[in-house]
Order: sequence, then C-alpha cells, then structure tokens
Amino acid sequence: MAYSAPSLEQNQAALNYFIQLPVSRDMISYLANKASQVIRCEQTSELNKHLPPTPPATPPQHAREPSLPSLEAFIISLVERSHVQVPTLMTSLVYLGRLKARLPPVAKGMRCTVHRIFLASLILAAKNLNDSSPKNKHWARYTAVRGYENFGFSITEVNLMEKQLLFLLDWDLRINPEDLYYHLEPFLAPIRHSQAKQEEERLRQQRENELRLVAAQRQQQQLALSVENLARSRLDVSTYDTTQSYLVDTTNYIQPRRALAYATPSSRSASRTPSLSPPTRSSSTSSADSLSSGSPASLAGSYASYGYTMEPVSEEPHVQRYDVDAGATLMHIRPPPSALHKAPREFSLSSYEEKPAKKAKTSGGLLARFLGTANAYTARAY
Amino acid sequence: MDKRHPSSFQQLEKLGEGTYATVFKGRNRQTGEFVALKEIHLDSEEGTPSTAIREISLMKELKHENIVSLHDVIHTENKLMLVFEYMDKDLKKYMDSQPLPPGYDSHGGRSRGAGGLPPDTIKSFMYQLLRGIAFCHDNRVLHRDLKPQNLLINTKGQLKLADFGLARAFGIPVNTFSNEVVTLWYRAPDVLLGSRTYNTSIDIWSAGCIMAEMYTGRPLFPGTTNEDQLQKIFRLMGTPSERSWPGISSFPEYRQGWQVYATQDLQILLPMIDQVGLSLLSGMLQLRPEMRISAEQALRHPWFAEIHQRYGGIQQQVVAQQMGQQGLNQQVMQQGPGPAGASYGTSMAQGAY
Repeated sequence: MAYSAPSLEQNQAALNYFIQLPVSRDMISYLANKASQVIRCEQTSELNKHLPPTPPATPPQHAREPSLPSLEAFIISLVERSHVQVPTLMTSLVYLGRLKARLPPVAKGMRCTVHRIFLASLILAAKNLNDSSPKNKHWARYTAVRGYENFGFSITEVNLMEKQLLFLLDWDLRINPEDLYYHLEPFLAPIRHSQAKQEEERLRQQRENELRLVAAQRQQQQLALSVENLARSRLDVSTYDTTQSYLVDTTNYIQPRRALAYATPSSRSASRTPSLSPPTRSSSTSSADSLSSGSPASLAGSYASYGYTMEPVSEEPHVQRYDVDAGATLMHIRPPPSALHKAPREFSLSSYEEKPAKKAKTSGGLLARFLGTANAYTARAY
Repeated sequence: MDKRHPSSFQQLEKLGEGTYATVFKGRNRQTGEFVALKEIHLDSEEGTPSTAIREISLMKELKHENIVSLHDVIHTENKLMLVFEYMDKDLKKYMDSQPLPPGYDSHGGRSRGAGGLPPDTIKSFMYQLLRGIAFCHDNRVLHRDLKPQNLLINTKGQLKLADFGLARAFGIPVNTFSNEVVTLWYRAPDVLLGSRTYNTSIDIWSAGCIMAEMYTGRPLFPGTTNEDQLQKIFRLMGTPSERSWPGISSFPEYRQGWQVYATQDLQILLPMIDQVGLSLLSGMLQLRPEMRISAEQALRHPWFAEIHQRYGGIQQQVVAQQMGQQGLNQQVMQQGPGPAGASYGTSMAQGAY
C-alpha cells in the first residue's frame, strides 16, 4: 500500500482509533515476535525446531516434564487474566524496542528470558501509564498458564525482573507520541489508509449531495417559475414543502452510509488470514490444527475454551482487515523458540532462587540474572 | 547510577515524612556536599511503586534551575534511595518562620505566628514557581501536587519544584488518569468535579492558591472534604452554573442543590495585593479550566515586568524562546504595571485564551 509520509494529524487519528480496539490475536503475535527479537535465546534442542511455533492450549502430552508455554500462549494468558487493554499492552513494545537497542548484540538468554522481558515491560508500561495498576503480587498470579501447571513466576522473581529491567533501561521510561507512532506503525498504517478512504468517500458523498441539492433547487426554481404564471400563492407553499422533504431525504441518505463505514463488523472471513498461521506450522497437535485450519468457528472456539475475555477477531471493525493483510508482509512472523519438550528446570522458581550470583555487581552479572541465567552463555557474551 | 552504595552518604536528621517515603538530610562522604536522601520503602507485594517509577523517569529529564535536581538512584534489596540536591526548607516552613511584618498583627488573630511574605519575595517566588511549571508543561509533564510543602527554598532565595511522585506525562492517548490527585486544598474545581481529562491548568489553579497563601500566610481554601472544598471555592469565586460554565452539569460530581454564592472580590480577602498582581491571580483562579491563564502567559504578565528588567537579558531570552514571540514579550513588558496591566489580565480571563 503506497502512501506518503503520514501527517501528525493522520497518526494521531489512527492512534486514537487503534487504542480503542479490543486486543486481537494479531497484536499478540506481533508482540511475541518483537519480544523474541530482543535477545537471542537458547534453543532447547535441534529436535524441537520442527515443532509448531504455537503450542496447544491443551496440557502437553509429556505431562511428567514441566514445560514452558510459548511466548504467545503466555501473553494470551496474561491478557486474559489481567484484562490489560490495548494502550498498555502495546506500549510495552516501546520498552522492548528500547531494551533491544541497549542490549549488546551478543547477549544471549535462556528459553524463558523473553517471557521475563515481556512481563517486566508490560508491568512497567502499566505502572507508568495508569494511575492505578495491579501490584506485582497480582502480576505474579497472572503468570499462571492453563495447561502448564509447573510454569509461573513467583512474586520474588517478578520484583526482581522489574528491578532489572528498570536498571537495564536506566529508568528511561518516558513515552512520547513519536515512540508510539514508530513502534505501532504496522498497525497504524492500515488504519490511516482506511481513514483516508473514509474521508475521501465522505467528501465524495458531500460533493454529490451538494450537486444533487443544487440540481434539485434549480429544478424547483424552474418549476416554481413555470407555475408562477398559473397560481402564485398556492404553489409557493408546495414548493417549500417539496424542498424540505428532499433535504430530509438527503440527510437520511448520508447517515446510514457513514454508520456503515465506521461500525460494520467485518465479515467472518477476516479472521481466516494466512498471517495468523506461520508457514511452518505443523499439525502434530490438535490445537495447532484448529488454529492453522483458520476456520473462524474453531478460532472462536479456542478462544472460548481459554475463557478468553477479549473480543474475538471476527467482531473487530473492518479496519482490522487491512491490519491483518498488512501484517502478513510487515510482521515477519518467525517461529518463536518452541518449548514443548525437554523442559528444563531453570525457569522454575526454586532453581532460579538458588542461584548464588545474586549480588553480581557488573551489568553483565545483572543482565545475566535478568536473563534468567548466570551460566556460561552470558559469561561468554561479555 | 546504581553503582553507589547507600553508605556513600552519611545520614543526618530527618527532614520530612511523606506517604511513601522519608526524607533525610545527608552528606556525601567523599565530597562533603549536603544532599537530600529520599528513602522509599519497597513493599514486596507492590514491587517498585509507580510513584517512584514516574518520579525518577521524569526527574531524569526535567533539568531546570527551578526544579530540584536528582543526582542518583540507589536501588537496594528493600529500599530505593533517591539522592537530590539539598534545599534548606520548604515554602510552608519558610512562611511559618517569617516574622510578622510590622503592623500585620493589627489584622487581629487571623493567623498565629505565620504572616504573609513581603511582596518582593512573593513576586520572586511566583516567578520561579511559574518558570518551573512552564518547563514541566513544555516537557509534557503535569506536576499534579503543587503545594507549599513541595516547593523548596534555599538560602540564595531560589525556589524549586519537588516531589514528582504524583506527576505524569501527558499528551499521549494511552494514559489513564485518576481524579485522586493534588492535595485537597490546592485541587482545581474541575478535578473536584470528577474530571479525568484535566490538563496543565490544574497546576495553575494550585499556583493561584499558593500565591494567595503567600500573601496571607494561610491556605486560601482549607476544605475538609471534596464537597466542603468545592463549597469554600464557590463561596469566594461564586457558584458556577450551566450559564457561567457551559457543560458543568455533565461533571460526575455536579449537584443540583448547590448553595448559590455570588462572586466575591479577591481584594477583600487580600487587602495587601496590588491591582496588577490581582489580575494575575484572578487569571489563575478561574473556575473553568479553559479560562485559566497558562504558565507561559503568566510569565509574560505585566506583574513580572520589573523582574524581567532586573534579571536582564538571560531570563527574557528564556521566556522569549519558550514563547517564540519575542515581540509580544517586549510589548507586554513595556506596558508595565498599572491599570493597563489589570485590564490585560481581565481580558484574558474573559476568553482570550
């Protein structure tokens, strides 16, 4: 979609529209993707790379091993439990971007590092943007993910990751409009596009109606002139009446059109977009099947089975369709590190807290702790 | 930042205690320099308080001579210590420590011990206060808790804004606002009426209340509850109606049965204020937020003409840069104090901005 550099007003209007949208699956995929790009993470094993990037919502097959939910599943669960809205949720992108810029490119984390980074970014966005926001003990509770009984962060861990992110960002939490325009561009562009089209259509309608009105008035005048010779007094009244009723018709004609343009829910097919299903999705699990099949019904079904409180994708305003289409090209969806098998102990609370390097003084040590690993990976990175 | 240890500072006497922090005087063991140490206890359930998160992130950016400067942040296991530049006292204590001006006690028991400040001091403090506010607003920050206790004074007569715990960035649509802001006595009527879409004008209302308090030594509207606060304001400023304030009936806290008061003359309450100062004050104490003068406009008010002259080019330049309207600035200063100045303020209050 070709466009010139957006004006401030266009970005403002698009952002104002965007923040009123319900949380969508697209947004979550985009967040998960961006979060996973913040730092390179340890892949669990070569064996896992063919697994579906989005793990099932159902309990994992190998129940005896604790496992890590995918980042996407983690975010979905957090959104569902915390009821976080789009403004806060999507502002965490700014912090993810800022952190990425600050981390050395060689920095490496372990599998649950991006989960920590995302959660800490979300908490800081919530605390910074809202006059009242959940306490960390609530956030700790929200980290439970259905189907992953051994997963979750303790209050101690949440406090620590928050503190570490504050340190890594050097308390630079300011959010400027430009930050939002930049980081939300993939979502704002299609909205701007659609808003521009609506405006065009509105102007066209307006011109059309003006022309029609002028034509009608001319007609009436001619009519009035032509009948004037016959019976002036009575016809004056009727002329007036006809004009009035025509005006009313005109307004009625405009209004439903505008209402349509703003509020019509998209057709259900909107949710059947290829961008939601990464190309490498395998069909090894039932839930992945239901997602990759792309059937709106099954998608809604999986939302429902989550007890999902967000609006289903199919109920979004039609602007989202552009969004989704654009997402396919703009998002570069990459399979996040899969986490179904070989569940390591590292991310469990106890083993994390056992780590001796708590008082590390260098930023490398702190970074290592934040990244959930005090081991050779980060040591090598520095 | 975090490299320093709390032990780098020798903790001296306690300076004050807030809701979420305790402030001590401290001395840098290396340099001997005095500092103010704000200790924030970290509650393990809450994590890092959002007040601290905002105060630190905002104050790192707001570097201005009328804003107290943050030197360091020390984050330890169970507390967060903010190291600020040391200031001698806050405006409240400063006013309380003022000797009564000669003849002042003839007002008879209106205040015990605390009198108003000398007019020159008030003007200087108001100018500095408004400069600090203008800088915040220019940087898209609302202070939201301006009161004498949060304005710090040093021995050089400098005034600086402090305590940004309630401060917030504005200008981005992703914010949500609470109306539980600003200490009751200094809270703007629109906030008292339940507005959550307030803006920079709430800080100006507080500044107006502070200006009046500097004259009398007593708070202008010492309400006890939200309702009482509104009533005290209406008693002086007049009870607003849909006619004087279109849209007022749609505020959450609007009530039909408010006692109807007529607008009083501020001069009666503040017999010591001059006419030009009064016009500035009434520009700040407008009930309708959109009628309140802005900090930048206030700095250009004729009441400050002599300060512009005394400080010379530098401050003028600062103001002019902020305005981007040097011409207007000079024009205003040439106007000088007097009846012309008074009408300038009045006309603004009537909707020029």
